[in-house]
Amino acid sequence: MATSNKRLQKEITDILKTPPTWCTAQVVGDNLHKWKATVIGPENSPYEKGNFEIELDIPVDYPFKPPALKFTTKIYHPNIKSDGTVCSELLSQNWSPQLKIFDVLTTIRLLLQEPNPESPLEVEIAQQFKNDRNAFNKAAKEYCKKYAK
Amino acid sequence: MSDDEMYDDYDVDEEDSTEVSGNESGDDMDYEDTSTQDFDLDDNNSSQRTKSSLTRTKSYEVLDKADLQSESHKLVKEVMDVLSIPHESAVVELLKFMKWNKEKLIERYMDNSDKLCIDAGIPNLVLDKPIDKSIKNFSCLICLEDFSPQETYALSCDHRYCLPCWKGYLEIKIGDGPECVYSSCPAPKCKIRVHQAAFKRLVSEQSFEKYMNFCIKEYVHGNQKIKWCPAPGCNFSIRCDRKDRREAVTCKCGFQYCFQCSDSEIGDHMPCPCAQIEKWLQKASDESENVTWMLANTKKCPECRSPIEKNGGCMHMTCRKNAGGCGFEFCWLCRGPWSEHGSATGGYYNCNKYDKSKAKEDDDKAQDAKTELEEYMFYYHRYESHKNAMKIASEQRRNAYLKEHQILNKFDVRSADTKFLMEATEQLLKNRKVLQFSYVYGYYLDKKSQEKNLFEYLQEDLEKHTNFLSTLYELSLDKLEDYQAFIKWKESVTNYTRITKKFLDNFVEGVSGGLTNQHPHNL
Ligand SMILES: [Zn+2]
Ligand SMILES: [Zn+2]
Ligand SMILES: [Zn+2]
Ligand SMILES: [Zn+2]
Ligand SMILES: [Zn+2]
Ligand SMILES: [Zn+2]
Repeated sequence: MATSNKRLQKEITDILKTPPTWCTAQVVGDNLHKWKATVIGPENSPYEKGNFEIELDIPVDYPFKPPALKFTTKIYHPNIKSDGTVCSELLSQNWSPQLKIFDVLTTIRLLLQEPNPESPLEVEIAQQFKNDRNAFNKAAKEYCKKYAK
Repeated sequence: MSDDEMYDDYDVDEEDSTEVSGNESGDDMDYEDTSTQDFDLDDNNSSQRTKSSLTRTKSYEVLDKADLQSESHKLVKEVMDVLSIPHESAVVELLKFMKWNKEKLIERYMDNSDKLCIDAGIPNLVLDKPIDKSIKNFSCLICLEDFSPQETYALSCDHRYCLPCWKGYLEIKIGDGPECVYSSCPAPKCKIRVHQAAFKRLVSEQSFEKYMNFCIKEYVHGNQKIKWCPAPGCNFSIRCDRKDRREAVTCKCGFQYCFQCSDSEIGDHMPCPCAQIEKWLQKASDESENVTWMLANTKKCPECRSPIEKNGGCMHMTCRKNAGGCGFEFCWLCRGPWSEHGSATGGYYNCNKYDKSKAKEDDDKAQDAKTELEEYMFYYHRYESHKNAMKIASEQRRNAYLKEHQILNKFDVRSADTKFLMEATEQLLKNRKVLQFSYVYGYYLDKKSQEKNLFEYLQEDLEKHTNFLSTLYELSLDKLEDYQAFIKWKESVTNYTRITKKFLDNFVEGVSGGLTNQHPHNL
């Protein structure tokens, strides 16, 4: 717990000191292990300009174990379930204790930029992504407009 | 299957079973008693064969943790010598990578040592990167704190972290389980392996011990000739050098099982070959729906349809009046009246033949498929019955134990005088196990063959006598009025235990002989 608290404190201080342009992050209440972040949809993607809210649950073993995350903003994406959960492998597979919350958010942004239809959580969306990109883009944009203001 | 083939596979290794389990009943006893005369099996023939197989060298070995440790250590030392590698930890990584196959490792090392070492995550066999003393302060990329260089460590890749972070990282890996033996450097995407020496240096003594236990597990896992004993909670493992070994191995925990299958539920499936068991279990799962339906409709008293429950191992059932039944006595296997199981049907305990003509009578218009299912059900039902009798093995042992005590109280005998009960229990369990799988074997035998006849003859003998022993043995103590009666009962149980053992040996011998020999005892 001691390691994770100290490091989380440092991470949040760093983020507040030099805020990134495409995301925000803050601790929920006084619990260092619960964060709320916003990722702005990347340019040239159907999520462009959307504000996606994400909740991060940070384990006591952090940074030796990766955080768990969940989208609280509805999103149309083959790798994000309708309830907002993301495949845990996304973070655990290549996790390194050297990675930070900021890196996690970077991974998320990359996922918005480049969905991976090969290991989908929403099979139908993945099919559409592969077979009818225009329809996919349209649906994703509509969701974005409706929910990710 | 040819005679020779079978015998090659089948070496009853009594040396193993007595030495290993130590609780084998009766194997080492001398049966000179004349009371078996009535059941003289004239088995000179078979005992000679058994003897020749007994002299064979033991082809498996039960290993405990220390054995495995010294064994893997020996292997590491050998590789170190052959390849002149000074670091034990480096060799362990190479061996792990090569699944503990020494010969292959040496071959690949000779061929291209650089590539092998990189693939194994220990490039150039370098264990770690020494501290650069010129640096005064070091900032750890995990905890983001500053440390003096002495408080840091890096593997050969020079990804340096503070000692507390290494400890946290590796101990969490150990806590996660066996995969910890494949831990790599914490840096993103770095493939350098954390070797044994690093673990030893970086984690607590307690954690290191856990890690070493996982290393032993990994050694067994990677080694194709060694497998863990499948018995729940058992920590022994067994090495078997013969790939095609068919006869059971006996672990030091007492569990006897087929090494190939290594399955705690199946155990020893003599007389069936492994492939047959696999086929049978597959069939059982394919047919399970049909079987469930059949069983649901047949697990009732054949007379009054009240539900019946089977206790004990005997096939003689009574529909209990005090449980609302009708008092009908019948055979659990065929549901026929017990009274019909007399000398007319080949003895009271004779019930192992699937009577096709009767089945046809019962259902003239039965379609082939249904007949086939019925036939399968016949075998399945008997298989299950014996299996269930096995399942309550521990209960039976407990009951035998309780009965021993009742006897001690009631008849004022020495405790040695009650030993026969446990022996009978163990013999019954052994017989039931073989009988269970004999119905699998029987199911797959060619229906009209000579073998099938001989097989059923032997099976019938075995089953009949096993059931008889079971009944005899389950006798209520209330029925024994005095010491004399007890002694008489004891003698008959003892005799019958011995007899069923002979029938078991006979059966196993007969089946192993490929069922083509002349009948072991005069027909
Ligand atoms: Zn550190
Ligand atoms: Zn590294
Ligand atoms: Zn065991
Ligand atoms: Zn097997
Ligand atoms: Zn009844
Ligand atoms: Zn019967």
